Amino acid sequence: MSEKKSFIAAKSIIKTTGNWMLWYISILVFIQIIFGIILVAFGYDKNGMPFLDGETSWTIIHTVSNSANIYFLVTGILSLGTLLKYYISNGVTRRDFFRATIISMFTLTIGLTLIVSVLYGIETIIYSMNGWIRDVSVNFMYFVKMAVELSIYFLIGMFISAGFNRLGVILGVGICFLSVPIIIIYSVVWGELVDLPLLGVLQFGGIHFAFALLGSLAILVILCYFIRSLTKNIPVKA
Amino acid sequence: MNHVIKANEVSLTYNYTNRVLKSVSFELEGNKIYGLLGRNGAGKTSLLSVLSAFTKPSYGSITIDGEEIFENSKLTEKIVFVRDINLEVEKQRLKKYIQEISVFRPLFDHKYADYLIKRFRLPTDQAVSKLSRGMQSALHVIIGLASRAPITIFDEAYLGMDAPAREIFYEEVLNDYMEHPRTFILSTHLISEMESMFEEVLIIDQGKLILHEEADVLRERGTSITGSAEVVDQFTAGKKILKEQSLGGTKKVMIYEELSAKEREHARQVHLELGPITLQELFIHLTKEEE
Repeated sequence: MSEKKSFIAAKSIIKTTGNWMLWYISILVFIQIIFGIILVAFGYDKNGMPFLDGETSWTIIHTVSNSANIYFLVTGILSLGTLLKYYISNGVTRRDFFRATIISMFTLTIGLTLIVSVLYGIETIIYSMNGWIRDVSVNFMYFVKMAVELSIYFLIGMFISAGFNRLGVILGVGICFLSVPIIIIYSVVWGELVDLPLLGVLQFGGIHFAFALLGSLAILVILCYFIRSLTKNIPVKA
Repeated sequence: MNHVIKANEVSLTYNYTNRVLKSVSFELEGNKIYGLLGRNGAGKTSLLSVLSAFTKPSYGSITIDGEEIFENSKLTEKIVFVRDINLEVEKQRLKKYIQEISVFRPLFDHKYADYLIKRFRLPTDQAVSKLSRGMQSALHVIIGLASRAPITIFDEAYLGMDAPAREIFYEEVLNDYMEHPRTFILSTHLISEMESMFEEVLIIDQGKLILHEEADVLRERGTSITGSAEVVDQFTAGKKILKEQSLGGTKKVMIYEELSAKEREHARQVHLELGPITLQELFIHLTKEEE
């Protein structure tokens, strides 16, 4: 029965947050089309890069990846506010709500990644039909990383929200600061360049994909553990 | 099915210092209409929040049929806790909003919800956020009633409704209770309007449960005595007086004490008029005394 409740709640959360996501992606596509038109009409891309000889370095993936992390962070913050209250009011337990949120998180991050990959595909077709060239290429690993990264930002949003709710403002702010090293560790795990003040640039080269995935999974599990511990008995104001 | 609710020494403290419930204990045998009365800030909503698993008691336990309610999925789906909350962010239309909530309520009766929508004259083509406060209150009430949850709690959910709508609400609670007996807990300030509905009354004051009694027994305990001031004073000497009113040589005194048959007979002999007092009068004076 309990599992059934988590799936009912998950379906409901996916419906709500999925609706927000569709609005979000529609706006991004609209922006991308506008920039595309500007690019073709005026010969410059949105970074001011010259669109010379039919070549550009900006794709829908860049448009999404710049904002999707923030979008998922905010969705994570909201999920422990209004959404928790709504589901507790409807007889869903905190445990079932937590399971439902995690199910919906994976559904939405995978969903957005799939949508972006399809849009990227369409964009590629449009480029090749017009004989334009892109100096950007992405592979399967890139999309896996994108889904994982969005999940981490979502959980950080939940973690911050849980911290403010359960530990008060001072410790809540502390959790905001704690999220910075979490992101740094995540970036290091994926072999990205991390520019640290005072310490200079940090990078572990030659990171294996499986190691990066396992490292990310460990971060996800640790975040889930802390969120669940903080929200196990979270009170909801009537 | 009858569900027994038992609170055992329930206390609730916010921020380690603000104790809003103080060792509250009671047992509700179920399938009755209970009135939960208390002044503003007395702890009514806090008590109902604990009962609905919105919050965990700081001390003590609250159970249904012997099982702890908090984080018990089997029990939480049996409780509907209706409050007068603002729905200004709900952009769906009324029926869609009800449809989305109903998936969490296994006993939800859609036909009954449709009937209530018509009775309360709610427009189905408008977004929930566009409904007036009274209409939103009616919507809460519709969800509460149509959920048919074995434990249905209304926490002043009807305050935004106008008098005719409240009248419909009282009628529907009674009708639905007769057709589908279950436990209703009605928390209210509008005691005079609702007192005839209550089978048992719980009065909470400053976080403590000061009274839990059958409504009829409670009413019988209070008596108003009217007559010549001197005779009234003699008759009520040593009794627990709730209120006194004088007009010329006539005096009216309310006492909280059951009169014996002998005392009643004596009152008649000395030409005193005996009458009942309302639950509201009792409530006002019982909670006043605790100040």
